[in-house]
Parts: sequence; C-alpha cells; structure tokens
Amino acid sequence: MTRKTPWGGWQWLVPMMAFLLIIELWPFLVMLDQSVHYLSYTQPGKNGQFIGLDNYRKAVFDDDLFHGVSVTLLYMLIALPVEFVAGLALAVLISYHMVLKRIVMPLLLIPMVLAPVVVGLVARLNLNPDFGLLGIMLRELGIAPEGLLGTPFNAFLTIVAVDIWQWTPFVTMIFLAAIIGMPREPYEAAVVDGASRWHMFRRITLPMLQPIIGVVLLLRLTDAFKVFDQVFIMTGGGPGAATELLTIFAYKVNFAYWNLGYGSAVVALLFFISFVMTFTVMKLINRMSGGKT
Amino acid sequence: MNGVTHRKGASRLLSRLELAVIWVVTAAALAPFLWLMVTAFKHRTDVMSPTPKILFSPTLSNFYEAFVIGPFTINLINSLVTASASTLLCLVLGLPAAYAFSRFRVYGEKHVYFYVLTTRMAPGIALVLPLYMFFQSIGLLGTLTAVTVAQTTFNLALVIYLMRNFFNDIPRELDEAALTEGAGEWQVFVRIILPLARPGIAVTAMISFLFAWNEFLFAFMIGGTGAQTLPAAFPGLVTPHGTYWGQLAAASVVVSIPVLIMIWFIQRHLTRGLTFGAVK
Repeated sequence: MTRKTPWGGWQWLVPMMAFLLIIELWPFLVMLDQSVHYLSYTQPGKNGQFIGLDNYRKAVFDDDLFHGVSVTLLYMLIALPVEFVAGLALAVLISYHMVLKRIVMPLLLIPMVLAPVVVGLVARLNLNPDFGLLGIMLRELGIAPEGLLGTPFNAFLTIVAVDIWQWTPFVTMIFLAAIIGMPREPYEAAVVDGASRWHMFRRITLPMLQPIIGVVLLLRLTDAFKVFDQVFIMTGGGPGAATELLTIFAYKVNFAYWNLGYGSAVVALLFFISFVMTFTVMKLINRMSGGKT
Repeated sequence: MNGVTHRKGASRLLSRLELAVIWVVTAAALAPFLWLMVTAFKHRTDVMSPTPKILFSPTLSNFYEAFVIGPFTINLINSLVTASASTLLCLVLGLPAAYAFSRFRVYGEKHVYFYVLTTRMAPGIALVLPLYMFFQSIGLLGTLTAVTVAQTTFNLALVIYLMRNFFNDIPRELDEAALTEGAGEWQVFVRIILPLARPGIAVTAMISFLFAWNEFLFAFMIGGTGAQTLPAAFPGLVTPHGTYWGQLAAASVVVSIPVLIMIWFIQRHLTRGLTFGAVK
C-alpha cells in the first residue's frame, strides 16, 4: 500500500517537473502563442501581427491538410485490420507450437525494433526494380516495372505494406503473451467435451482476448498516427502528395515552406488529436487493470 | 492450454503445415533486412547487379568509405554521446519520480501521469516544432546538448512507467522495515531500493538507449549539421542523383548492431513496456 509522506511526495518529482515545465510546457505555450500570430516568409511585413484564430480557420478549410487527414486515415484503415487478422492468426499458430516461441519470436520482432530510417532503407533497396530482391521479382511478373514507389497508387500501397511488415509481429507478440496468460481450465473442459480447435478459438480464446483487442487497437492507432521517419526516407510524401501523411504535411508546412505561424496551428491540432487518443488509451488501460495503472 | 489443444486437435499433416506457415512468415519478416545487411559487404558492382547475387566476394570497402573516408564516424560518436547522455538524464529525472509514484500517494498523480504519457503518444513533429523554436531562441540549435535534451523528452515517460513497475515488484515491507529502524526516505531509496532494482534499471536503460539511438526526426531537426547522429545522416545519402547504397547499408549495419544485441535482453520486458502494462 502507498504511505503518506510530507508535501504529498512532490519533492521527489521536482527534477522531473522542472524539466517538463521548462523543456516541454513552456515551448509548447510559446508555440500556441505563435499560432495566433502571423509568421511566414511570404509577407515578412506582416510578421508578428496578431491574427486571432485565422490560422486555425485556415487549417480547417485547407485542402492539403484535408488530403493529409485522408491519407492518414486510409493508411490506418488498410494497415490495422490486416495487422490484426494476420497478427492474431500467427499468435494462435505459435501458441499451438510453443517450442518454437523462443526461437521465432525474437526473430519476428527484429523489423519492429530496427531504426525507422533503416526500415525505410530496407524497403527502398528491396523494391528497387533494377537490383532489389522484391523489385526484380515484381518486374519479372510484369507488376510495376517502374518500381513500386514510382506511381502514386503503388507508392501509397507500399508504405502501407511496410507498416504491415513492421508491425504485425507487435500484434502477435501481445496476443501471444495474452494467450499464454489465460487460465487452462476452460480449454481442458472443452477438450473433454470433444471441441474442435476452431470451436475453442471462437468460444474461449477470442472472448478472453476481447479487452486486449481494444488496447492493442488504440496503441496501433496512436503509433500509426505518429508514422513519419520511414515514409520520409521512402517517398518524402510523394510522388505528388500520394503518401503525404498528416505528420509529413505538418513537417512540410513548417520546415519546407517555413510557414511557422500557420504550422504552429497545424501542430497544435495534431497535438489535440493525440491528446484525445492518449486519454482514451488511459481510460481503457485503467479499466482493464482495475484502476491500478 | 497449448499442450492440451495440440494433443487433441491436429493431425500430423496440419501440424506440419502450421510449422511451415510460421517459418515462412518468419523468413518473410527477416529476408528484406538480411538483404540490406548482405549488401553492406558487397562491391559496388555486386550491389547494382541486375541478377541478385547470393554468392559474392565479401568486402569491407563500404565500411571504409563510410566511416574512414566519409563522415560517419563523427555521426556515430554523436549518436553514442546523445543516446547515452539522454538515457542518463532520463534515469536521474525519472528514478525518484517513479519511486514516488510507486510508494507514496502523490497528490495529482493522475494528471502528472497523463501529461507524461501525452509526450510519449504525441507525433514527433508535434514535439519537435516547439523544441526547435525553443532551442533556436536560446542559441542551442545544432548542439549535442540540445539533441540530448530533445531525446529525453520522449523517453522520460517510458522510463518512469517501466521503473514504477519494477519498484512495485520490490516488497514494501523492506522499506517499511528500514523506516521503522530509523532510516530516512532518501536513505531507503538510495541504499535499499536502487541496489535491488538494478536489473530493472539495466533493462530500462537499454530500452531508453535504443529509442534514442534509433530516433530520427528530433536528431535531424534539432541536431542540424552540428550534432548530426547516425540516423539523421541517412537522408543526405539519398540524393536525387542516386543513392549511396553501399555506404548506407554499412551505416545500417552499425546502427542495427546494438539493437540486435539488446533485443535478446529486453524482449521479455518489451510487451509490458510497449503496452503500458495492459499485458504483462
């Protein structure tokens, strides 16, 4: 049990709080302040002028931002269901062959722990139509002879495929841990009743996994929302704006066009979205662990 | 459950089929990465060969070009310095906080926690822009200090989270016994809890180091050219005129070595760490 201590224990948090206030909260407030001012290189004369919520109004009606939202949503909409079904199937398969777990799992986790820039490079190298392992195979099959990253549609599907390649093992890892932690009794009873494996999966495993499915879904949602590095290396948002995720759009507004006033508003909106997601994740995890987390 | 289901259900053939599927998926997960690793040891002509070469005469020339002739050694040193320093900073700031969250009823704990978690969940670009402007205003842009501090921002939450769990695993009776013997809270923390938590601290430090080591956007924007880490140097070699595949592959090998070594130590804790304790 927790015990009482003078000053409610806050003296222990002083170093951390000082860091958070100076390095995170203060710059964040400065950025919010900047988001209600004009700051860009297109009209330097106007720089510093207070313009209220104009930047936010602009963001809401910005077609390019809307495009970024659509790309991000579509990205999640394709990647996450595939990762879930494939990841769960793989977890169940491995649970039937537990001897393999200790060898296979660390190997499967490698794509997930690689530096994102390395992941982007792995994709570029393997998909190269002239000398990439996969690129040559696809070219021989007559698919995308100009390279998968060459056309907008293919490039988009490719960044989604890379996400699936990288993160399916994450889903597997969590579901496998959950399956291993399940009580044995229901299964033993089902075996006595002569139930098939499919039946046990549908009636026992899946229902018991239900609360975890929600958590994994939200974690994957927040992570997919954050994706930047590997797409930046693979396509830089192109061709055209086919792979311009919301994060890449925000990057470009600030660090390619140096439209820092408007960019601050865009980033503030991004922050707000992830804030809501974090809140939901916390609520869900709290409910799962009975308020102990 | 597994032994039970296994014995009951599957015929031999099905079982073999399942094994085949597992191995094929594992191979598919690994092959593209292995191809990049192999590329690092190829001569330029072999890298660009239109028929993929499995057999080739290995060379270290790419490493020589990247790290001896090229600038990657400086990037490597920058990476080592910033990742180690930010891990250390995370521990200094995070350990007392994690201990307090584990042992005391801290007023406002939930709000602090939420704040810390937000910095973990927010997209990198949302954290980088304020930091970029902050470091620019105090003239620290492009320094190792700035990169170290920037990397601490996204690791602190993880360190606090993981360490609180490790502290929770240490029985409270221990510190309460010491307290009744007349030791102070700080003494208990330093003399009893920290030594007991050493394995946990090691795992936490490794995970924090890995995240900082792998990180790209913060290092790229905040480090500029003055404090460029190894991952931040990658875009410079992907040029419109062509990609320096050999050197990039060599750099990738070097970036991946610590990751591959540490994964064996931390994989058991990765589930808990990455799901914020939802799955143990």
